[in-house]
Amino acid sequence: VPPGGRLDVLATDPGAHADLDAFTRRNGHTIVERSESEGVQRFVVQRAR
Amino acid sequence: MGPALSAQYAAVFGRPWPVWGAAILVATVNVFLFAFDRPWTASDGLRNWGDWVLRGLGLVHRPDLIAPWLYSGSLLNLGVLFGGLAAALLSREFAIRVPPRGELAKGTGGGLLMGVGAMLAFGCNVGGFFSAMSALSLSGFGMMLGLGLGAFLGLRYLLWELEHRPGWSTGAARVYGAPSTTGLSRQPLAGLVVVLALLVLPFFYARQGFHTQGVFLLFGVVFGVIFQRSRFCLVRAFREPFMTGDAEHTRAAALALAVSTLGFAILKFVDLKDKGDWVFPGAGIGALAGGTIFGVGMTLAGGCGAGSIWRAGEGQVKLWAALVGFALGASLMRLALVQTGALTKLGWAVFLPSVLGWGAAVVLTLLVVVAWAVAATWNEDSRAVTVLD
Repeated sequence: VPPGGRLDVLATDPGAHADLDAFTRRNGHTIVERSESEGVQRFVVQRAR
Repeated sequence: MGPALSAQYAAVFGRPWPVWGAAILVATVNVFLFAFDRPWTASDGLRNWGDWVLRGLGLVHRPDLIAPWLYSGSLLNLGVLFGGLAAALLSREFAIRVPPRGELAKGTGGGLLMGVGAMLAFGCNVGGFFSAMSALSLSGFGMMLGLGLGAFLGLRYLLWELEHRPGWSTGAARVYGAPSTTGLSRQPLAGLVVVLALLVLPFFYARQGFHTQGVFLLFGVVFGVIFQRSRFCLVRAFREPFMTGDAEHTRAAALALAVSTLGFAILKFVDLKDKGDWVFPGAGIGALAGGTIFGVGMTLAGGCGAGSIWRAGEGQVKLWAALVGFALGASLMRLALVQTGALTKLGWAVFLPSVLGWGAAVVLTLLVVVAWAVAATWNEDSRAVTVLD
């Protein structure tokens, strides 16, 4: 993923939000979208520029 | 539900609990459990389950084997499993989550490695590391080193697989029984039923004359609820500094170790518990090799001795596979260690206060856990050992 690019992440683990939150906070990336449907969580992560 | 009750319900079951608070709770409950009878480990209960499978298959002759519904370690594990289930239901987080086949294989393989490692180190990461270190057993320190190395090796493997064999673990995951994201869910009601059943069971045990067994089950339930609500995780404590650099769970694990060590030391110092309790003859190759193998296994499985059980309770099928692998791996490894005579050659039983004195032993243990937390926190900025950016 290039700097500033976005990545769709699908997860089924209820802890995924906390995990991704820690990862993005520590690395300067951003979770720009979050939604959940039928037990599948979707995150859009934008890579730091 | 009124607004005040609703807000409290959301605080307990709507949001994750603070990890550091959960760490203090886990450590405190572990001290209570040691005062009651014995500290926590997941591996002996899992081995009990594996031994029953081997006995059922006619591979071992064990007329002395205690039934899983009466064995303390098994009851603790069942408590963690159903405590995790109850907490997940009450939080509307339960679902049967079936991963792709490659992930199932990693769950089973990781579980097998955890079972093997736990037998070499005389306990899983909870019993052989957390409780053993708290009991001032040198073997706990050895397993700590092994777990760190194993987590690093396991992570390197996962990254290699991601880069060179991406097809192995791809495929669709399936989710069944997830709560609807809109409208009411029946999960909290089902959770309430599970909680009531878990509260009634100890009375049933007591009526049959098994008072302590019911209490073991309750201790397990408390652990399961705390872990599920906080997601406090020793795999993350060891793996995350290498992976993302985040050290929150490392600091929490260090805090838990400090509290648990002080509690265990008091119980032993005032002779409420035997000095030799939870001091294992694994200081040496057993703790180091066992810790390393266990560390690789827990990283592949995505759950340790405790984490595999409560995650299985919230419906994660990969961890069901890990539990099967763990139970069988532990039983078979123990059998091999006993039959070859290797069980007595895994290391020394060293109770640190016997060598260093009480003050120095406690201070050394606290220094090690503080150094672990400080090094992981320093790594958050320096990223000295972190591989993901």
